[in-house]
Formats: sequence, structure tokens, C-alpha cells
Amino acid sequence: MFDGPEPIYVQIATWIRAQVLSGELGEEEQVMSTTQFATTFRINPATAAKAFSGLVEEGVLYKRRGLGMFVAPGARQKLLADHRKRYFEEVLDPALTQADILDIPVADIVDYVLGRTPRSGGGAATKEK
Amino acid sequence: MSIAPFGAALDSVAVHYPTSWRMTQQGTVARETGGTALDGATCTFPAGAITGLLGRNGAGKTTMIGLLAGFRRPTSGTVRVGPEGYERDPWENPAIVSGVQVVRESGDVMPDEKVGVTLRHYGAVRPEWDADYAERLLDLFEVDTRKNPASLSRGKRSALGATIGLASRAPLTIFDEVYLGMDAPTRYAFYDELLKDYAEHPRTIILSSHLVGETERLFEHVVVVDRGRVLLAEPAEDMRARGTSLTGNATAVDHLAAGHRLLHRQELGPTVMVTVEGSLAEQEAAEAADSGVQVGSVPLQDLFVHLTSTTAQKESER
Amino acid sequence: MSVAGNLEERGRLARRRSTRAAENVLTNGMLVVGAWFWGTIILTSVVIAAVQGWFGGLDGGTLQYTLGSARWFMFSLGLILATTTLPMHLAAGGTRRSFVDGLIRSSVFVGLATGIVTAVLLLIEELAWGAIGWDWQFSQGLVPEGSFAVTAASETLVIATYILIGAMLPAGYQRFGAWGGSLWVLALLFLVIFVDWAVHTGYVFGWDTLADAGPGRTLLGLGGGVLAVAIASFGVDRLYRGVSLRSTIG
Repeated sequence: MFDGPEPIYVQIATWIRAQVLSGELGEEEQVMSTTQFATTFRINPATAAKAFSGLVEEGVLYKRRGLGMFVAPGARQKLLADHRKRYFEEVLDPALTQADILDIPVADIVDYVLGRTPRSGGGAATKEK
Repeated sequence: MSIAPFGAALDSVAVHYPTSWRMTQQGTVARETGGTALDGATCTFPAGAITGLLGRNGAGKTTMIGLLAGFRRPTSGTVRVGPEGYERDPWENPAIVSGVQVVRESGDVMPDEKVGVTLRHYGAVRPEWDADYAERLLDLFEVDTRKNPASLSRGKRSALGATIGLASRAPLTIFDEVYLGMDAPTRYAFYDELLKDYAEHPRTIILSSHLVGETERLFEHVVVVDRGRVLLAEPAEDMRARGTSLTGNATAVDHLAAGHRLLHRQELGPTVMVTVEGSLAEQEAAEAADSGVQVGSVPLQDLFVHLTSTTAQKESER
Repeated sequence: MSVAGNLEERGRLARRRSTRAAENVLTNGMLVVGAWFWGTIILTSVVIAAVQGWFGGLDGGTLQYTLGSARWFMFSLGLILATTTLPMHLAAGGTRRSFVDGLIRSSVFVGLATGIVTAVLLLIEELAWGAIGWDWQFSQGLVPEGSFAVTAASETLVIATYILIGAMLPAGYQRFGAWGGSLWVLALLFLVIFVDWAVHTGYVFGWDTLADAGPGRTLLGLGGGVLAVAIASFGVDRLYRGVSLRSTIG
């Protein structure tokens, strides 16, 4: 867990965002405390805290005094909108640029997209790296 | 009585050991040759953080720890330990040393008395000692308290050391390679207890090691010493960013690596894997992506080995 | 309270705690092992007395011949305990100063315990000899006819001095090196002879009844014993206050 190339706190934040997106973590649901996080994954609590404070700033989590961290209301919608926007910028744009380089006609791409049976839930919107 | 975590700082510290004589417990006289253990070391250990003190065998880690605990004085330079803003010279300072717990491989126990005698002494001296916690830990690590430390296995002696370190709840707690003697399950149990108790009772913790792998994610801060000098002292994230691994086609990789200091290079047929100092600039990252070069992070252990190996050839650690 | 004030208060408390802790751990160590020693002494004395009695009568007592070894036993206990306890004491967060203070207090306390035990045993021996009808004599000490208080006091001073000398031996080696250490042993031997002479006991002086015995000599002797403890305490303080815990270089 969290063995990727990015800093650990970035990976933790990505993991929590993914959980919120997939609905595993519902809105107003309590998130593991930094201590639980630290002992579960054997990481420094400060690293977990850094991930959490980033998520609070983003509005994904909020802090209830003395109780802990909770998923903010509207967090999922916010993340969905954000990821949808980024999907075009970060996934589709480079793919279309590549298509230009390879001289693939736009019509072919459109045909390909239309011929593809879309899966329910739009899971393709989740950014996977 | 609760006390704030202790920070510590060394300022151009040198330690030269004179050749000395010492009487052994058997009554013979042993000669100990001198040498330079630290040579102008400057660094800080931030209060409240878990810091990894990394260095190869003989790099000066144990000497540095001895200074922080007031076991010895530096030949030159200053050592300061204490609550933030109130750091003092630890030498013979009861307010400070009563708050610094060092757990060394040698154990610092009464070897021929029952474990309880040693624990009672620690409890009698240490203001923050938690006897109940010590008992729970000994239970967890399965240390037989009816035995004396000399008749315990190396692993159990390490576990006893870990118990002393944790139960002391000292505002500065230092583990000097103690966990090396433990088996894997005990080591993991130790890490878990350390993190749990650290979260509940914030304090400063220093873990010294020449084997980084297992513990690297516990560190918030790192200090690397090499041949008596401080190579770096910075947040662990910064140290991780000090190295980048590039894997891919030899020409592309070498082109990218050209602007960086090469730490390590390994050829796997037509593919090469190099470790370079620093991280890639934005355009370099784009170039890497275009040429199919995989950019990765470097484990602290590898960085540590690259940074401290004297020869290009990677020496294997004992 | 301010942080600085807190620290000061913490220092005072820590000093008191660790002095008491050092005193306790050293005293307990010496008393536990010492109890074994005294058990052996009593047994030996009884056996010697029984054997001698079997062959018909015995002049003097047997205890006085075993007492000379008690001080050397306490000397070796001081040596061993001081060297093994100091690293633990420092690792537990104590200072050298609290160790030295605890060691001196402990040596006087153990000396006092030994002194009282000695005096009690001698008293018992005297009574037993009287009951059997043997002639009890005690040629050691400042008061030839025996005095509970003087015997207890002089033995207290002797044992305290020996324990402290034991503690000084290895520390001196570390400080003065191999050659200096050997000279140091001679200096310590001088103190040993001095305290034995002062209270007129031990292997060198304890064989003949004190010639110039009297209240003046008794006071002088006890004064000499006090001086010996003071010198030994001073020496221990000088040697231990600057000692470094030598670790393997690493």
C-alpha cells in the first residue's frame, strides 16, 4: 500500500479521493483518524495528517472538533466535477493530440467511440494512473 | 507531570576518543584504541517528530546519541537538548537527562538480576515512567520477567530494551538499532506500539539504523551521517525527492540523465536503469513521457546507500 | 508556571529521585549478596567453634578471624556494583552526581548495617562462650574488652571506606591508564592501611590487642575512620563526575 513514486501523503490523498468517488466513503461518514491510519499502514502520523489537511483545504473532508475527520457534504459531486473536467484535459486531450500525430481521422475516432458500448456508472471517468 | 517534547541540536561537534584503558568485569585491563567519531557535525532533531538517524556502521550515530543523552561531552562544539526554545547542555543536567531515554544494543540493564530489578530502577529515576504499560509490553513481547537479562535470548533482550524505551515516555526517546535483534513479528509489533503510543503521548523519537527499508515510512525527518559528518538533515519527503530513477531505452535515459549527477547505473540488456540526484524539471518529465522513459521514486534505503557509499561499487552491508 | 521554571523544578525533582534510586539499587544489591556472605560467616564460625570444642576448649572467639574478610568482600561488591550500575543509571536518566551521592549514602548505610550485625554477632559469641564456660577474647578494635557502640561505629567506617575504594579502583584505571592505574592501586592500598590502622582491625593490625588503648585513642581512631570515608567520598566524586560512557565507535 502506498508504494508508488509520488510522496506518500499524495498517495494517501489520492486513495481517499478514490474512496469518496466510488462511494465507499459516504458523505458525513467518519474517516480513519491519523493514528489509525498511521498504525494500520505503518506510516508516520504526520504524513497522514498532511494528506488530511490537504483534503480539508480541497473541501473533501472537514474537521469536527474533538471528533475527527468527516467527508464533507457534496464532496463526491465536487470530486466528480473536478475529475470530469480533468478527464478532458489530462486524458482526452493528449489522446487526441496523439491521434493528430498518427493522422487518425476524427470520423474514425467518433465511430470508435459510438461503436463502444458504454458501461454503466461511467467508471471510465475515474482517473487511473 | 507532562512536559513538551524535547528538540536537540548539534553545532559543529567533534568527538575524538583518546586511547584509553578500562577495567573489565573480570578484573583484567583492556586497552581501547582512540579515533575520531564525529568531525564537525551540525544538525537538528526537531521536537515532536520521528527522526531517522541513518549511517553506516562506524559513521558516528552511536556517538551522536551518546552526546544527546549526556553520556559524554564533545571534544569541541555544542550540544543542546530540551523543550523548544529551552534547549540546554545535557551534560549532568538532571532536568534534561531525566527526559532523554536511550535504548542501546548493550541494554543498560542489570544483567544478573531479575528483569524486575532493572525496571524498578528505571521507574524510580524516570518521571514519566508508566509501570502498567511496561508490564503490558513485556506481556506482548513475551519476555519472562522471572529471568535475568543475561539469560534472555538476543531477541528478548531487544524486546526488553524496546519496553524500556516505550514505557519511559521520555520527551526524547532514542532507539539505537535495538530492533535489529528482534524477529519480524516482534519488530512489527514494536513499530505498531511505537506509532500508537507516539500518537497518544507526543514526544520526540529518534530511530537509528543502517537498515532503512522497514522503517523509512515511520520517519518524518531524517539525518544522514557519514564518516563523522552530517550528510543531510531534512524532512523525509525532501530526502525522497533527492533521487529519481529513470528506466528505459539507453540513449533516451542517458540523454535525460546528462544534466544530473549520476548516483547509480544498471544495464539490463538494451534497457538501463539509472538513479540521478534531484527530481526532473517539468520539461524533462515531458521529454521522459514522450520517449517512453519510466520515471520513479527511489527508496530511502537505496538513496542512503548511494549517498554514503565511498566507492562507485555498491558495498553490501553486513 | 513558565517553561524555564518548570525545567528548574523538574531538575530538582529528578535529582532527588535519581539519588534515592541509585542509593536503593546499590544498597539492595549489597545487602542481598551481603546476607549470603553473613550466612556463610556465621556457619563457618559455628563449625570452627564446634570442631575446636570437640577437641576440648577454645581460647578467644572465632568470629574475629573471619571478620577481616568481610571488608574485602564488601570492597569487591563495591567494585562490581559500581561498574555495572553506572551505565544503567545514566541510561535511566540519572546524573553522575546523583550516582555518586547515592553511592556514598549507600556505602555508609551498608557500612552501618554491617557494623551493627558485626557488633551483635560478637555479643552473641561472647554470651555463648560464657554460657559454655570458654574464655572469650577479642583482640581487634579500639576497645580491647569490647564495646558494642565502638565496634559498630568503627566497622561502619571501615566498610564504607572499603566499598568506596572498590568503586574507585576501575574508575581510576579508566582515568589514569594502565601505568597510572597501577600507581592508583598503591594509593588506594595506602588508604586501606590507614583506615585499618585507625580503628585497629583487619589483617595487618588486628592480631594484637591495641597497646595504647583508651578514650583518647578511641576518639582518634574513629576520627581517622571518618577522615578515611571523607577522603574516599571525595575521590569517588572526583573520579565519577567526569566519567564518560564509552560506547563502541559507531
